[in-house]
Amino acid sequence: MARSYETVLIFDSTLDESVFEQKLGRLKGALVDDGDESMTVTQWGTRKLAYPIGKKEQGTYVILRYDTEPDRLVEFERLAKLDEQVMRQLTIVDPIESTIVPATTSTDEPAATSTDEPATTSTDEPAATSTDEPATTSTDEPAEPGVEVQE
Amino acid sequence: MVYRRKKTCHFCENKVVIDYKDQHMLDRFTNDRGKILPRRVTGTCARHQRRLATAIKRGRFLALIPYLPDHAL
Ligand SMILES: [Zn+2]
Repeated sequence: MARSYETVLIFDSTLDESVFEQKLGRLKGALVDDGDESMTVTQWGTRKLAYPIGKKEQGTYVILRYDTEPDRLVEFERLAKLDEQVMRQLTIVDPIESTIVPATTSTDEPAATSTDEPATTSTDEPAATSTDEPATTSTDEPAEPGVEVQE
Repeated sequence: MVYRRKKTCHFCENKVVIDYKDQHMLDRFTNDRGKILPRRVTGTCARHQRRLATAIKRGRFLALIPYLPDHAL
């Protein structure tokens, strides 16, 4: 059964425009039939990478959203992997709505937040905006009220 | 609302859906060494902290934010 997906591709930014279009077209064609209206393509263009990939400092980002069958996705991923000019590919299932343009301000999403539990911390320390906290590796550790981390 | 305190979950408060492509948000919730900020600093609730962790991992993979492997430090 078809499902909704979102794929981010990073292409080598030194590709000729025509070659880039060709590659992108081929990859899209692996995912959906021509003219499939579920497909939306968002081009971020070329951006500096947060860290070099291979020896590349830049990459050309493309975000695809579409509905497809798992078999086609497998074939797409195989093709993308074979292509050395595809520096990264990431596909997620059932992407959240309206995230194509990174939102910096909150829009009124009908997000299901109603069941959120209140934060378990009771004494919120002021946490002076120090961004250089020796953060523990755990991403989800229970907060410890009153325990100051020492540098 | 009822649970509003000095520090609240940014995502609950503003009904923000966490997007791994939102570089600005990823930056805001990681420190200058690329590590995710703990909840006690940001006030993020447990549920959103988990989603944030996933988003940050994706953002690193996509070179939107710096990558520090878990075994670093
Ligand atoms: Zn929350």
